[in-house]
Amino acid sequence: MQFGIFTIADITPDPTTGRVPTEHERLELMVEEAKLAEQVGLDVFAIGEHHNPPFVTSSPTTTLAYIGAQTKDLILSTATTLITTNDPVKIAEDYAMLQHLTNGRVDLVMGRGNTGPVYPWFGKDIRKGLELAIENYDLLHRLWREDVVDWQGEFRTPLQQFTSTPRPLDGVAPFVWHGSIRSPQIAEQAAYYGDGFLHNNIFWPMSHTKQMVQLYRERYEHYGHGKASQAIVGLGGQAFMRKNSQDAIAEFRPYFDNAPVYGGGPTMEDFTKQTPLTVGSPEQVVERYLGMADAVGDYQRQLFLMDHAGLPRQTVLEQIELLGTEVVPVLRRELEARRPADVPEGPTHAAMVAARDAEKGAFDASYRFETGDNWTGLRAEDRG
Amino acid sequence: MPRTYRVLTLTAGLSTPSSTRMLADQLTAAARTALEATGAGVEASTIELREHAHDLTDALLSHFPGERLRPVVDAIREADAVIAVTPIFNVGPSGLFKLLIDALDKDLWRGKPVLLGATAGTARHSLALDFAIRPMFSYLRAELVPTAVFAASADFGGASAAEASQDPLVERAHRAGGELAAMLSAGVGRADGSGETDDGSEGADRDDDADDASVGTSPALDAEFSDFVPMGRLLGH
Repeated sequence: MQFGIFTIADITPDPTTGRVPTEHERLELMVEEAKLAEQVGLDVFAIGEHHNPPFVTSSPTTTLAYIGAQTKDLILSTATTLITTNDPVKIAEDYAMLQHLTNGRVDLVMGRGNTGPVYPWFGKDIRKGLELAIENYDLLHRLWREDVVDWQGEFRTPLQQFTSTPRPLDGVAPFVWHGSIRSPQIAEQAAYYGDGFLHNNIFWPMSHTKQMVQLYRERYEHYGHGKASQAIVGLGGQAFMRKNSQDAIAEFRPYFDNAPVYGGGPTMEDFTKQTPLTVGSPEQVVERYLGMADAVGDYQRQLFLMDHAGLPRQTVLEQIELLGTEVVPVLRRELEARRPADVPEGPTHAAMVAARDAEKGAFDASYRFETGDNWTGLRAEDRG
Repeated sequence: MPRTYRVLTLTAGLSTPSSTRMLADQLTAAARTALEATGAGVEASTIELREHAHDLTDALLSHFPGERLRPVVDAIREADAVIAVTPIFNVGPSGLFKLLIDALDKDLWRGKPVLLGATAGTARHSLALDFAIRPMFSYLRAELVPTAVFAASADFGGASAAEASQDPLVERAHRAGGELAAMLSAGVGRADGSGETDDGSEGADRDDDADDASVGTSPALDAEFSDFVPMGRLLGH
């Protein structure tokens, strides 16, 4: 089981002080969060990709590479990578680069973006969101698995004898999750490829999450990747903690009441009851998140959002420390204990390499000119 | 075996007692009488939207119906027919009534037999029902009962007999109830409902013509997931 944090790097005024972090401060905090996450024993750090204010994460691989250089074991992930508006060729290249430079500590969560206008910003048709997600990912999937690709589709120019470089580290593509809250097609897409499914359920009732995960699991089995219980599931989460739960409630309330995403809506009491947001003591957070597996089955990754709604730097870092030292160790122990032996652990590059080696034999990393000439894009037999 | 119809009445009146509630009760009774005359059974229930005003606002802002609102959503989904009654404010439905429509999944209304009713102080507001509320339900693809019933204060008996008796409220309610009963007897809205005669083919409109894409063991999904399409079709191969 993997635990981590994710951030969308929103710039939100602190409602208690009115202070607004600069873009630079927000980016620095992200890096600090990631380094602290590793120090306190978390496994994953994931960042969003947004191309509109008030967010600052437009370039995930730049950020993740910078973090990767300052960490050792942390898995670097996304939340999410826009499979709709990014050219799949560029995703293949960028993340294969990142995978090499971080020794395989990379995976991705595919998503479709937080706002409609992002489509035209990148020359795409907003009406084609789902079609773009389907076609682009199908190409990306091939680019990481086939050395030379001939491809033709609706949304970009055809590829002739194209080789995406560098080839994935050890011949194993980065692990991919597909993130969706409401679209069953995305759960279906994840199941079809045998990829992971990440339901970022932080603003949703568990009854909803449960159905989406259940659909994904059943379709995963339908497509022959394993039993439904063996499908790779990730969840979002959200918590605010203080030793004394009343302190947590009092401190977090102004942030809740003014947060762009839920301010003015349900009370914090209603919202914490009906969504995974937990405000209280670390023990209460543990108790709440121990119950998630009862709803969705034993799962592989639990991410938490800890740094939004204008929470100040020091508070965010304290929260990550509490998560890493008081919550995750108990969750890890308890959830690992209940996970049946035939349910896989969270995906890692090492495990994927081992599985591939067991199936197909060891990978030979020597440079292979014969699979495609990297200068002309032609194989020897296709020239002249 | 005679069928039992679930008739759900939604009323957006604001005061207690409210004339909107009075009209709602009258329409419910008329529908019951007409349906029972066909030999069918009727299970009628009424929801006062006022009790869910905050829940509806929360749903609008948080994009999901909270647990106090879920029974309302379920009741609408499971109803064989809905009687929806609102006061007319400013040539439209009351904000509370509109909130119900805006905050919930619009597919809830698709193919649903709906009998509309509205109230206002005077008959001058009567056409708001047909100009503002009926088109909204047409957009939602509800199956509207041809007669929508408007009641002004005068209809409840206070004003001149002449005004009230030209086409008395009780007759209009009777006509609307009869039309609703005829629609239900003819099977209107049946495919979308989940009544006793439903053969378990929920989500039957799923198109799984792709080679290997038999949904077969598909899980029981909420209607909000009804746009599920097997991957083989999405990929086009």
